[in-house]
Amino acid sequence: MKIVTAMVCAALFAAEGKTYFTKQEALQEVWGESEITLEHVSDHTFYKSLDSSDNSSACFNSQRVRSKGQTIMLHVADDGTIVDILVCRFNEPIRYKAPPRFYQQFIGKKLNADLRLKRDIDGVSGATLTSRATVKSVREILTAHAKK
Amino acid sequence: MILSLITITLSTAAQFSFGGYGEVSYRNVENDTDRFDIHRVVLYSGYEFDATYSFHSEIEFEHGDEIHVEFAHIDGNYSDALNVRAGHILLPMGFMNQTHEPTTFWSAKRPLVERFVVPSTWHENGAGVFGSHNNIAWQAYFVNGTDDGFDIQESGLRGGRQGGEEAAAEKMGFTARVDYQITAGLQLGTAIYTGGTNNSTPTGLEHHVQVVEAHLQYDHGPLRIRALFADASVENSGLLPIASTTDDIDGWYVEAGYDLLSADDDYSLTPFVRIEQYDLGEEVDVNVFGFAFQPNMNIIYKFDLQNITSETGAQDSDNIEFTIGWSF
Repeated sequence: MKIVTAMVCAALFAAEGKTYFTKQEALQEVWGESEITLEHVSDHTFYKSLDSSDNSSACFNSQRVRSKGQTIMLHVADDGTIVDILVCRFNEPIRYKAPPRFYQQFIGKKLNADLRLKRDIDGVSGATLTSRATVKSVREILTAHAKK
Repeated sequence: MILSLITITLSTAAQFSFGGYGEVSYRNVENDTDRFDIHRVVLYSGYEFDATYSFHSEIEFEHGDEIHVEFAHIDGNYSDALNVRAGHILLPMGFMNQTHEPTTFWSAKRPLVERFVVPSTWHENGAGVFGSHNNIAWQAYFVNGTDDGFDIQESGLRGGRQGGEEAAAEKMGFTARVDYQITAGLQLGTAIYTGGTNNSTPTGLEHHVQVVEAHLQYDHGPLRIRALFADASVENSGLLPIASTTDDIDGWYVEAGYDLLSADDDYSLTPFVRIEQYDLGEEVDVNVFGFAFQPNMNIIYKFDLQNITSETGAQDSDNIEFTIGWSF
């Protein structure tokens, strides 16, 4: 069963920050120790397992929250369905961090016009900026994925 | 050498963060002087000492000539579940006290319940812990207690705040909050403050203060609903320097808004309504109807009509409010 571990990632500016998963650890969450291959599409790098037959891929994206950043990793099925989302690094104060239920909303969704805050994605009290940054990351990754 | 200096400079810059928010408000008030006020300009700065310890502060310029430190604290981030905060802190009460950037609420002014019963912005010196696990978040702090400057019937608990400025600390306070994210869009929470009062002159009297509030926010697509109930009491309030005929005050509000431009990431137009009631010795009903427009998610223009009715009629008024707000 896929465990949704909503955490945070990559700072835009900061050298320091709260790292939940390094890139390698995040990829291991999806495919374990299997060998990984890369594909570059529209400024995004998609990671795939050579040992997996489902053709799913994972991609990282960083966005500014307020003055610092969040990095997520999105695991996407071959047809563009979101399989999982991991927050890898969060550099804002923890009070801006969204709870796991926010990130769980993305699972099973595909890119469409309503994959936005206040449409198919509900906001979270006290974490509006994080919610907005996450939606932006997800849309950018899925837009690149659609060009594969 | 030059490369080293550049590297050091960039590294130091990366550890800084800077932000701010502010509001300019116009109030056309039926029973008082109309005001156009540079209500507040707030500058945020932060610094990361390392991956664990960071500094966060906000300096507020209010009405153009008052300067306050709204918060200035050191956070020790050990894990999501357990972190330590010490310094000058915002008490974790209600919706507004910790999160009050103008882009986070629609009305030109904050709800009056969160002005009188929860006296935002309430900031004192203290220390405590905060954290979250799964969908539960918590905070708990010891802070300096209030003083006995309350004028309860006029302004609720506002007069007892010390703001941490050479605060008397013979009596301390304790505050705690829990929030639970029930579903993606539904959050329920509660907070408490309890503490002794630092008397301006030794009277031997105890004026124990207690505040309890419960709040709920529901987001579903373009719809957002907020509800809050708060109750506060000050012991022996009839013997305060400004005596009060009541030692228990309360209030509640329900607010709903619907973003008509939710299909656009860059704009927002939200008509909203708020029904509010508070009792500082006289029951007051406040109805607010208006709209908020965001041409950019960091900028907000707010316009609303405020109708106030009170038991005696002494506070009745119909007001027009307009605010320009920003946050970055």
